[in-house]
Amino acid sequence: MNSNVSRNDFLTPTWFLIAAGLVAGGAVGIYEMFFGHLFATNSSLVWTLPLVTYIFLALMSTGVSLVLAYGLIMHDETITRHTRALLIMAIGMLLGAFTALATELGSLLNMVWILLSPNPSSPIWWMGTLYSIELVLLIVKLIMDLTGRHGVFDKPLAWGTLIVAGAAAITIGAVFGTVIGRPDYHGAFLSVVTLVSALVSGAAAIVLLRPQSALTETAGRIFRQTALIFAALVLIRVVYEAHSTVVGMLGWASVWMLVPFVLALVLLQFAPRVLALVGILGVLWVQYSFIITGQLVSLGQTAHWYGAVQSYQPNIPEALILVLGIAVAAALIKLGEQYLMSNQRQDAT
Amino acid sequence: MIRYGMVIDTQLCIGCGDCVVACKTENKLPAGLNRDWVVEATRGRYPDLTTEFRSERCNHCSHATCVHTCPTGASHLWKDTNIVLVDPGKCTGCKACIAACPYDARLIMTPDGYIDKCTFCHHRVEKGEDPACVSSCPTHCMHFGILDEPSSAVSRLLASRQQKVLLDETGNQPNVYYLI
Ligand code: SF4
Ligand code: SF4
Repeated sequence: MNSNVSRNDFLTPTWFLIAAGLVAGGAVGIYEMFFGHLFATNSSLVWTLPLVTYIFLALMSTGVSLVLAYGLIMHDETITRHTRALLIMAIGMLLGAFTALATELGSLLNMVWILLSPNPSSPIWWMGTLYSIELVLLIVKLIMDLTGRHGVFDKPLAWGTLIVAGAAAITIGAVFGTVIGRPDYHGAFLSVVTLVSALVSGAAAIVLLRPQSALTETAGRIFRQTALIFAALVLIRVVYEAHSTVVGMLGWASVWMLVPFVLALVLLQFAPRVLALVGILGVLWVQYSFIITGQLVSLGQTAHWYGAVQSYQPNIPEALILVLGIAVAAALIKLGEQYLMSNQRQDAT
Repeated sequence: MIRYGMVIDTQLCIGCGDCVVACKTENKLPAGLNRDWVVEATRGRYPDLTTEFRSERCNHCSHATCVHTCPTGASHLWKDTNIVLVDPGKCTGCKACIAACPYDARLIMTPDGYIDKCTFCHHRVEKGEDPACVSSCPTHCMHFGILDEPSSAVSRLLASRQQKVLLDETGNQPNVYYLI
């Protein structure tokens, strides 16, 4: 623990931005949980930007965990040298995701209740359980790293993280893919999309947040490779939707979604951080698009209430939950860096 | 398992909406929320068109995707039957069941946030009565009973008339039948 942190370390533009996000988003979150309903949801369009925020941050955290697990298993020093920083990133992002989810569910207790009253046939139960295990594994690894206890457990923990994180990302896709009545959701394809988007956004986040190091090169390589796969997946979907005769399918993919990934592939070495951010926004766009589009067609009585096809635009409180999730993640990552990284090599190597 | 079902004669339904009012009254639903609804559809091929009124609700499916997808077991089967209920105390408001129901038969109970739906009036069924919507129908187009009992009124109606279910292709095996 670094005891040299002073008040001045918090008087920075980054911390002001984080504080503004925490206050504005936190106020909305507390209002939504305790006083009233602010989100633009209804009985047919049930999952909006707050849930997208959860999925976006949880998958990004998964991606960081997967990159770290890969580095530990393959003994890739460019990654393992930054183990602590990557653990802090993954934990911060996951807790930011859980914060957004708590506002979406309306209470923290509802999140815990999912674990305590299990239904193993439910993909959401598996998602909640796997991410809880993932959080525990990450914290255990961080404690072991902080206390300098390395040894026999490192490998099994890395494999455990790899399996749990991979399964969690696939299960998020299954939450949508196992829905049978909504044509834009169905199918195993979404599990592939969520797994690959986790890798793309996780690797991009490492490039964005751990610049000027050999790690940037390794993470950049993973980012480029997975972005190529992701662009291919989006393209496959565009072609499929163009030829689909499935009744009620609106289609969520567009060729424009390829642009961020093509840009990142071609130009990454010239402006890695900017292009990593572009890639992350591209992933958010794809996730937002498939989650929202899947619910726009009303199936029963709700068609009379809200129209056969709804339109959706996030409202300001929902946008502030996105800000809150990111602010919580950023605050935890910054705190981790300031308090837990003093004796770590953060230099460019 | 006892399989309860509803058989609704679309030739007799006049779309009056009494079933909707009866349900709201019986189950004390707040303004703006209904557990059942009446659909007005066009049947046939031009120029031989007729109007079909259908009283719709949860189908209490034999393969209830809402129950499978509920992470906490809040959506569950009542006793050893196909009647699907929601335990508000266990409901986290995750809304997975809403996404999973191909009939959009579930609603968010405001302001509490738990999920509500048709219960086939199981509190009346327990006492040997019909659901409120069935009892209130002025044209007697709705019938309720045990589908696997050959002597029940619903089984006899299904054996004697042409019928359909909604969205059979989903595989949910709905238990609300429409006589056509
Ligand atoms: S109609 Fe919908 S809510 Fe009712 S049992 Fe079937 S899937 Fe569940
Ligand atoms: S909203 Fe409630 S009833 Fe529906 S799946 Fe979630 S916990 Fe179950």
